[in-house]
Order: sequence, then C-alpha cells, then structure tokens
Amino acid sequence: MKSTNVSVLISLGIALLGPLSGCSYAAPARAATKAAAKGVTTETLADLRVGKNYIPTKVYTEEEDLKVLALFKGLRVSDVCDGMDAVGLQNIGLMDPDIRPLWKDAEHYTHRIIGVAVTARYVPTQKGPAGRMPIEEYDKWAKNFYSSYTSEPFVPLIRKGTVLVVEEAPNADVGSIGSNNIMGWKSRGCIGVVSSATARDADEIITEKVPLYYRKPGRGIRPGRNEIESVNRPIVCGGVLVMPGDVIVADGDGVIVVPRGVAEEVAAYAQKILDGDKAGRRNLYKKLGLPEDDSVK
Amino acid sequence: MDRKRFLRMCGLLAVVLSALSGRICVAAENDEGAQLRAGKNFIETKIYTEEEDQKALALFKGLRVSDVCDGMDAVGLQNIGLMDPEMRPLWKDTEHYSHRIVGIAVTARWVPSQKPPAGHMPTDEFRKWASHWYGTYAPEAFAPLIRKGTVLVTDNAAGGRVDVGPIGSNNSMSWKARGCIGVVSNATSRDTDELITERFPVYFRKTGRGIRPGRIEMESVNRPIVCGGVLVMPGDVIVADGDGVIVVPRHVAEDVAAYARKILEGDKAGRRELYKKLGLPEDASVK
Repeated sequence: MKSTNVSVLISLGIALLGPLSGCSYAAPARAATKAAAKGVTTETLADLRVGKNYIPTKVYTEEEDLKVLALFKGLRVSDVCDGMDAVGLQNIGLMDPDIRPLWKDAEHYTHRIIGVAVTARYVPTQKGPAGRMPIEEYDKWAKNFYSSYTSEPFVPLIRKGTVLVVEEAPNADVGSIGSNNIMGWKSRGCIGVVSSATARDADEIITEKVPLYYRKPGRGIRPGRNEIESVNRPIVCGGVLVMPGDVIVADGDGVIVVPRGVAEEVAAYAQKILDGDKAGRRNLYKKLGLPEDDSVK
Repeated sequence: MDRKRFLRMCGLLAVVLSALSGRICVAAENDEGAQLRAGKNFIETKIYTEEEDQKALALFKGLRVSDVCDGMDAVGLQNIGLMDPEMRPLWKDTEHYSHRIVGIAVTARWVPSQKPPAGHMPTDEFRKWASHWYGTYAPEAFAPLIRKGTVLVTDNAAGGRVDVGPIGSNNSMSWKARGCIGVVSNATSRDTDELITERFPVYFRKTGRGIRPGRIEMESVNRPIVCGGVLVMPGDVIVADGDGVIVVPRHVAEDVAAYARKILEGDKAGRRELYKKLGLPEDASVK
C-alpha cells in the first residue's frame, strides 16, 4: 500500500470523525460517525479491511536535499532545537535522549550528522525460530528468511546526504545494523544511521567511524527475529514521528528531526544562534588564553 | 462545448487531479525507485469473513492466556505472541471473568504528530482547530471495521511517551455498540474510572489524559502493528485475561486452540478434584 492521497484522507477524515470522549464535541462527533457508518459502501469497507495507510509522504530530488542540507551545515542539535522552538514546534522533533551516538569525536566532531531521512520499519516476526535442523538446512532457512521477510529494500533509496532512520522491533535482541551492511550503505552515500533500538558489531562500527545513533546493542541476526514492514513510510523513532525527507541532525546531545516543510526557517534561526554562541565563546576563549578549537571556528 | 458540459468536464478533471495528487511526483518519475521513494509497505494482510471469525473464536471459547501460551509452545511459537506483561487489564472480575476477551484483531496505528499544538487562541477558534484535527488527522478510521467478535488493537504513539487518550469512556461504548468486545492499547487510555463502571475490557500500560488534536495522527488501519512488543496482524486471535495478552497468528489458530483446550480441560479436572478434597464449592474457574 502506498500513501493515501490527500483528498481521500480529508474525505475519510470528515466522514469518520470519531466520537470524542469526555469533551463537549461528543454529540456532533457521534452524529458524524453515524452518518459515516451509513455512507460506507461494501467496496470501501473491503479496501479498509485489507489495510490502509493514511499519512501522505512527499518525494524530493537529490538536488533539493542538498540545497536544504547546505542550510544546516555545521548546526548543532541545540541550535536546531532553538530553531524548532522559534517556529512553534517546541519538543516536537527531539528524540528520547536515550538515542545516543555509539562514538564521539570531540576534536573534529566527525560523529555529527546532518542529513535527509530515508526511513525503514522492521517489526517483530510471528514466525518461529529455525529450531534444531541440519546446518545446511539452517543456512537455507536463514537465507530464505533474509530474502523473503527481512531484506533491505531501502538500499536503492540511499544517496548523497541520506541518513537512514530505522524503527526496529522494540523488544528484539537483533542487530539489523552491523559493521558490514553499514559500510555498504556508506558506499552509496549514507552519512549515518539512527535506530530506535539496536545494532551489532559496535566495536567495529567505531573503528569504521560510521556515525550511529541508537539505544543499545542487539546481537542476533534478523532471521527468526524481525521482518521489514515498510520503507519511506512514516515511522516512530526515539518517540517522535520521522517522515521520509525530514532533516535529521544528530550529535552528542542526541537526535532532532526537522519536518521538511519548516527546514529553511529552522535553519535560518539556528544559524543565528550558532553564530552568536561561537562569537561569545571565541571571546571567552581569548579571555582565558585558550587556543581556538573546531567548536568556535 | 456548451458551458454546462465544460463545467462538468472541469469538475471531473478536478476530481481526477485531486485523486492523483498524492502520487503526481511518482507518476512523473515513473520508475520503481521513485515508487519506493514515495513509500512502500511489505507485509501482506489477509481478509476473513465474519463467519470465519466466529468459527475460529468458537474454538477459543473459555481458553485462558496460559492455555493458549501452551498451545503456542506446541506449534513452535514459544514466546512469539506474548505481549509485555506490563500490558494488563484495567479491571478484573474474578467471579465471572467478564474482563477476559477472546476476539479477532482489527488493528490501528497512531503516531505522534509533527504539527504544533494550538497555542492560545479564542475558544471558538480552538474548537474549530480541534474539530479540524479530529476530522483531518486523527479520525477513527477503523470504526467501520468493527463487528461481532472484534478486539481493537492499537499501536498508540510511541508506547506512552505521548500523554494522550485515544480510547475513552465515550468512543469505547460506540465501538461496543458495533460488536467490539474489548481494546488492547500499546500505551494509553483515558476515562479509566468510567471504563471500569462500563465494564468494558481494556488492556493497556497506563493512563493518557490528553485529546488527540495536537498530539497524534492516524497512520494506518488493519496494517501490521507492534503492540506490547509483538507483531499483531489484522485477523489474528487475541486472548487476554489477568495474565496479560497473547496474540495467535491466524493460520495456526486451530492447532493452538486444540492443544490449549486439552490443557484447560486437564487443569479443570485436576482442580475440580482438589476443590472437592478441600471441601470448596465449585467456582466459574472449574466449571
């Protein structure tokens, strides 16, 4: 299923206006629901029963991506957070502080990422583990599970400036992101990865210096543990909504998601904050006789 | 072309254009990559008739979560369908077990919103703003799917990080009127006192107080969702009692129920004997 178009969304919205609990709109809402129940044809009901997605997504070109990323160059999470406040989105895009960098480079800040979200959603599987079987059969089982249920269909979407943002099966001890595939993604232009949960090969990913933001290690392979549910659909990561195309900024303070529609405004405000902060700290460094570092340049 | 016909054509064109509006970019690029970039879902769902639902549910009548858990073990799905034990009933009836539910999942997924809250505005405008949000971003699109035997299972905006109550004492009664026998929420619900009075079975993590506007949006209906840490497919069998919630994949439901039935019967017979030995009157749990 692809994103539903706007008009259907709106008409559905009007038609299915739900009964609201505990507030004074309850009566009109009930009337709307009754009317909606009458108006639902067998056909639309069958469409609905097979499953339907509601939030439309937007597609951007690589040029559009790079244009918006240029505005964010050098901005920190704190600057961008101030920018979100300034456009009325206080606390909207800040992921849980539990989502943190696997490694930090406090000299050149190479762990920081500013990119455009490609999204992927893994869900826990209902299929059982392999159980005990001959190794050859097990290999076949795992291979089939990878290709049939838990592939990486987002890979072709990765391009210059991409940050891969993954919603992972919440309770699975699984490492969908590892030191091998992350290099594959890097070779396509991926500048970093954000996961709502887990990754494996943590030591090597540090060695490889690929920026990764996540909660905790997850050790197992995907077969028997998760399945790919969607690519470039709305996902929830670190407690916030991430739309494909959103701007992702991450550093030692965590991860913030900037809705693409407000990206320019947020960047403009954030830039002022950063410039002011740098000027102020540059002065303090001078006063303290400290050499300038990357953070004030 | 006369004026009337011209206007009709314009109207038609507008309808077609608006119907395509979400996909225009895709059509322009017209290749597989562009379609993928516009978003794609992968897991297929299945549709069952109400008769099929009722047939499956008859097999599960009276089964407890523990019986069904044993049945899942027996078909190789140990630990697959058990939701976090944090997912618990809002209320319990340990005389007649009316809080227990055995039903078929209709799924819904709410996600946190990126849109700003209303801010301070005149009350009339606020009401308009809220009403528009309900209608446009957070309708209960799943309501028409509710029928006899339905358990509504919701993935509710980031596991409780959003203090929102999309399940309340009013809408739950309207769902009940359509045949809904209970609700399982990955996170929150409000009006909890009244929900207890109403004797409507709710399984959830904690209370969530706010209305939906400014907080969440409807993302999908009858698509795969994650609730209590496990996958729930529309059409799965949901069994819930004081021990929590278990999800039985529909295609193994018969096998699971058959095994679970044996466990339940054995357990009842054994406990009946013990009750007798102890001189206790029989209760609903051994009948």
